[in-house]
Amino acid sequence: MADDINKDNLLEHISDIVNKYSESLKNTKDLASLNRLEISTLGRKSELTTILKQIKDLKDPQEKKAVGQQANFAKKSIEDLILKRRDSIKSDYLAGVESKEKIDVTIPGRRIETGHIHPITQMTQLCEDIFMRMGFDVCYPYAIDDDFHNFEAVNIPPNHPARDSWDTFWTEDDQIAITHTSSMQNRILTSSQPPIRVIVPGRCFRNEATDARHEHTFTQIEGVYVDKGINLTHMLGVLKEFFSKFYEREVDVKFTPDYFPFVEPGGMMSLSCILCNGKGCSVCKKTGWLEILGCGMIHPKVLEMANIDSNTYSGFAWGFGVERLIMLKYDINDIRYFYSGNLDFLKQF
Amino acid sequence: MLISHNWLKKYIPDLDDKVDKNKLAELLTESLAEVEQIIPIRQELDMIVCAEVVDVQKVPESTKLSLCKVITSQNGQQKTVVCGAPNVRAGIKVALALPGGQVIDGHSQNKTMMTIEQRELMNITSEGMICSARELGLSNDHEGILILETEMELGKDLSTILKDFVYEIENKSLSHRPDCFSHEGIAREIAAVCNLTFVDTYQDMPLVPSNKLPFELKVKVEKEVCPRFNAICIADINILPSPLWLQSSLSAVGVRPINNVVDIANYVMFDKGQPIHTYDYNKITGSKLIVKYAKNNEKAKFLNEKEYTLNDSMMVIANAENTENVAGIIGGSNSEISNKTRNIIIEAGNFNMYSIRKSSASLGLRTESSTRYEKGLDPSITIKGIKSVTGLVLDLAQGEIASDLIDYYPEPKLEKIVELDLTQVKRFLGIELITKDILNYLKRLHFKIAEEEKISALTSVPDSNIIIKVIVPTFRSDINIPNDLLEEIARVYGYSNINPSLPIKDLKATVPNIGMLFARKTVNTLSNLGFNEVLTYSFVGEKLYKSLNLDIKKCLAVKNPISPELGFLRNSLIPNLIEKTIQNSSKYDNLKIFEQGRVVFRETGEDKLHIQPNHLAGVVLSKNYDEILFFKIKGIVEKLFEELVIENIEFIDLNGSDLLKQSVHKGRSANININGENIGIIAEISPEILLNNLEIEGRIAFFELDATKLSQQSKYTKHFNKLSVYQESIRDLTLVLPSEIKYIQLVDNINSLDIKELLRIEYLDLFIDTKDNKEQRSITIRLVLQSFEKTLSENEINTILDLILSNLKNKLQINLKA
Repeated sequence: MADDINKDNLLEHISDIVNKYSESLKNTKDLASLNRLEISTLGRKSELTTILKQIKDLKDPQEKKAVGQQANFAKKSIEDLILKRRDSIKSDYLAGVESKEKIDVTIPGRRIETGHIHPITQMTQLCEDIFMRMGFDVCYPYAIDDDFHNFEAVNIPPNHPARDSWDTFWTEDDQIAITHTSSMQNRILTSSQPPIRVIVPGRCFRNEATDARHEHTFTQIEGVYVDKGINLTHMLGVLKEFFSKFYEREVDVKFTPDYFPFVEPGGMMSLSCILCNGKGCSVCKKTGWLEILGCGMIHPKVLEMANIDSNTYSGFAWGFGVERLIMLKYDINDIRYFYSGNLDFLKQF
Repeated sequence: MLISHNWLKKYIPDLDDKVDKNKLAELLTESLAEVEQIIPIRQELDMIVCAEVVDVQKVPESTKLSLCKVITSQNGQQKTVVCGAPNVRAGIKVALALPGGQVIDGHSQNKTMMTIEQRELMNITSEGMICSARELGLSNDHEGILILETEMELGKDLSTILKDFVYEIENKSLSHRPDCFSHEGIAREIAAVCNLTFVDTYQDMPLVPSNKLPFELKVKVEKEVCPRFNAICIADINILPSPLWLQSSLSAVGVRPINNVVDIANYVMFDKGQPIHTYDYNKITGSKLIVKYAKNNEKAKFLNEKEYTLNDSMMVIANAENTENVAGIIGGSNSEISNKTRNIIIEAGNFNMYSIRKSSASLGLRTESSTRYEKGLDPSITIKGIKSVTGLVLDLAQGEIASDLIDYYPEPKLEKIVELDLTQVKRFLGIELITKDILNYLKRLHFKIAEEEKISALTSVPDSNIIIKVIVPTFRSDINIPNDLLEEIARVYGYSNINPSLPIKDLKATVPNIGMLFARKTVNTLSNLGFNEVLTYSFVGEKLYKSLNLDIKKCLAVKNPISPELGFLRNSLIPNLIEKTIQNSSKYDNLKIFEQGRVVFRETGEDKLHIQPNHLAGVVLSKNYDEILFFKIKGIVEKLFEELVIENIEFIDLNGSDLLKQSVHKGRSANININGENIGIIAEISPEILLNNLEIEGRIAFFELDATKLSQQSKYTKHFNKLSVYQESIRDLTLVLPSEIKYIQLVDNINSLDIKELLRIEYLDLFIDTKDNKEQRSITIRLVLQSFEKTLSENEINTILDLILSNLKNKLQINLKA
C-alpha cells in the first residue's frame, strides 16, 4: 500500500477531486443535495480526507509539505465554492418563493380528529363540579336495586298509590331498575353523620313508551342536604345558587306544591326562563318559568328510617333530569338522540 | 281533573267579585296543584231563552217540519217557529234561540258556531230556532229538541246557566288528597288560599220512610276492607231527563247526561267526592245486597259490556244469587237504571284503598269511582253523599223513601289530633310568622285548634315552645304529623312569599369519588385517542345476542319489558356497542366508540343485590383487511393503562369460560390480567359472525374491562424516572424465534439478566419467511442502552449484546438472524 503513495499520485488525485467536484457542484440544485455533496467530498469518509490521512506516510518532508499545501488549498477552495453555491441556491430559492407558494387561505385546513364526550357525561360533570365547589360529595347508584331502597326507605310502602307515579321495570326476581337515584338516599343517610351533603348522578328507568319527549332511560341528579337548622329557605337558596352558577347569571326560583311521599312539604321548582329572562316565550309556554326539578324537605320518616333524629336534624332533597338541561341548553328537539348512538349527533358536542 | 267555575260558586258565592279566573288558576297552581289550562265552556252561546210551545201544526207539503207557536212570557206575543224535530209538542218548555243569537251548528263535526236569523221556510217566517242538546253543547244528542224541565222560568236567559269555565287540574300532585277530587274540596282550598267565605250548603235532614220495601244488607268482608256502607231504597220514582242546571254542570266536567237518577249519582260524586251507585231495586234478586269476595275464576259482565274474570281477593256487591258490582270500581248491567225503573237502591260505600287499587290493577279497569277510592276516601262522607243523593232524587224524580237509611259503620272514624310546636314554623320553614297568623292559616283550612283561648302572645313570633293541639278534619287523611301541618301553613302563607337563603356551613372539604376520578380520566384519554363516547340502553334482547352467538339466558330478565328487544339486562357492553357500530358503519369507514356503564349479572352478592360492576368497553371498526386490528386496539388499551398508571399487565390466551368466548376470533383474542387478576377481554369479532350474522364489510375489534376492579388498580400518580446526561445507544437485533416461543418470553429472558444499562426494549417488526420448507418467524427488537455514569463505549455495548444473545440462545434457542 505504502508503495502506491507518492507525491505525484496524490497531487493528481487532488486535482481530479477538485475537477470532479466543481462539475458536480454546478448540477447541484438544492440545499439537501449540496449537503450530501459536501459530506461526500469533505466528510470523514471522503477521498480528500483519505488523502490528508495518507500525507503522513510520505517520507520526504518536502513532498509532505507540497502535498499538504495542495490538499489544504483544494479543501479551502471547495469550501469556498460550497459557500458560494449555497448562497446562490438560497437566493435563487428565496427570489419569488412567497409569490410562487401563495395559497388560497380559504381552503379548509386538514383536521385531526379527536373523539367526543357524550353530552350527558359532559353535563353531569359540569353539575358535579358546581355541587362539589359548594361542598357536596358525589356517589353513584346501582342499576338494579331492591324494593326497600328504591321505594320503602323513601316512604313509598308497597301498594301505595304514589307508586303509580313511578312506572317501574321489575326484574324476574322482583328487583327494580331504579326509578330515581333516591335509591341511594337511605344508604347515604345511614352511612354518614350530619352535616350530610351528597349528590347522586345516575341512570334511571321508567317503563313508559318513548317519543320525542319521553325516554324509558334517563339521567337524574339527586341531592340531599341534612344538618341542624336546615329549613325551606335553604333549599330554595342552594338550588338558586346552583342554577345561577350553572347558567352563569342570577336566576330566580319558584316553588309550587306537588306530592312526593319522601318530602314534606314537596313540590316542583321552576327557574325564571333562561331564554327570555322570564318575559315569556315559546319554550316556557309564555309563563316566564321553566319547571326544572322536584324537591322538598325530607320527610321525618325517611330520616328516622336512617336512624337520624328528625327533632334535631332536618334537610332537603331534590332530583332533576340531566337530559332536560341539555335539551334546553342546545335546543334539542328529540330526547331519543341521547341513547341512539348516532355519531352525527354525538360529534356535535 | 275538571273543575267547573259555576259549580264552585255554589260554595263561594262571591267568587266572581273577589278573584279573576286567571288569578285563581295561578293561586291554585302555587298552593295546591297545577292548573294546566282554563277551558271556556259554551262561552259563545247567545240569546237563548226558555220558551213554551203552545201550538204545533204540520207544515203542509212537508213530511218533517212543524209550524210551532211559542211564547217567551206568560202574556207575551206568540212567535212562529219552524221546527223539524220529531219530539216537538204543545205544552213543553224548550230552549229558543232568537234571531241574532248564537248556537253550535248541529251538523258540523268540529262544533263551529252559527248565527240564528229570521228566515223564510216554506213561505213561513221562522222567528228563531228550537235547540237540540247538541246545539247547546250539552251532549251529542241531535235526534230531537231538548225538553226543559217544567219549572224553568219563561224567558229565562239560558246562556247564564250554560256558559262556564273549567279548570283542568293536574291529578298527580293530588294523589294524597282524596278530598280534592270534588268541587267541595277544591272550593275549600280556594276559600282558604284567597281568604274567601266558604258556604257549606249541605243540610243534614232526617230520612224517614213512608212505606217499606223489603230490603236487607249483609257485609261478609273484614271491617278494614269495607269500613262503611250506606244504602237506602226509594220507591215510585219517575225517570226523566235532568233539569238544565244538572245537565249543564255534568257536561261541563265531561260527563254525558243520561237521566235524572244516574245524573244525580254522578253529580254527587263530582260535588262531594263520594262515589255513589244506584240499583234498579226490582232487579235485585232476594232484595238484598251482600258485600263479599268474588269466587275465583268467576266471570262477570259490567256496564262497559266487557266480560271479566274475577278472583277471591276482589270485593264485590252481590244480590242473593249473583255478582252485581265490583265494589268501588264498576257496576253491573243487570240492575242498571232504565227508563222503566220505578224503585231504586242508593249505595254509598267506603272501601279500603289498597283493596280497590289491587282489584283495579288486576282487572285493568280504572273508573272515576276507583280513582277516588284508591286515594283513601274519608268514611265520614258516605252519609253526606247518600243524603245529598236522596234529597235530589226526591226533588227531581219524586218518589218516596222506602227503607230505613242503612248505616253499616262498625268502627266510626274519629278526628285526629296532631300536636304542633309553633317554633317549628321558623325552624323548618325559615319564615317568621306571628302566632295569630299561624292559627288563622290553619283555621282557614278547617283545622280546629283545641283550647285556642289558652294560647298566649298571639301577636308575636313564637320563640319558646308553644305546643298546640290541632284537630284534623276527617277528610284530611293526609295530615298525620307536625310536618304535614307546616306544609299547610306554608301553602296558605304562599310559597312565593318565601325568600331563598344560603345555609351557614362548615369548611369541610369534599372527598373526590374514586369512581368519578377514574371515569373522567378514562373518558378523557379515550376521547383524546379518537374514540367517541356513546351511551346505549341497559337493556338487551335475544335477537341481538343470537347474532353474536351469545346466550341471552345468562342475562337477568325484565318481567315487564317495553319490547322483546329490551327484555333483559346487559351483562356486557359489547352487544349494544356492536349494534351501534353497525348502525353507523354505512357512514363511517373507520370508527371508534366506547361506553362506560354498569352491567348486571344474574349472580347476587351478600347484600342480595345483583353483582353489577361498572364496565368500560371500546369497539373499533376497520374496513382495511390488511391491518391486524387486534394490535390497534391492544395499543389503545396499553396507552390507557399507561395514562391510568396501571402496571403488571399480562395478555394471556382467552379463558375457556369467558362470557364472550363464542363471539370472538379464536386466533385473535386474549384476556387481560392485572397483578394476576382477570379484568377483561380484548379480541376481534369472529370472522364468521362478521360475514354471516352481521353481514358487515370489514373487521371489528373490541375491549371490555371491569372498571370497578381497574379503578382499584390505578395509581393515578405517574412516577418520574431520572434522566441520564450521557448519550443513549441504540442497537437493533433481528432474532429468529422457534415456533413455540412467544415474544413475551424473549423480553422476559432479556429482562431476567437485570442489565442496569438496558433502558428499554422496543418491538419493531415481525416477518415470516420460508426456509427449508419451514416457516421461520423473525422479530426485530430495539435495545436502548444508557448509563448514568458515562457514555458507553463500543466494547461495553458489545459485551452487553453478547451476554444477551448467548442467554437467548442457551435458554430459548433464539438466534440472531443470519
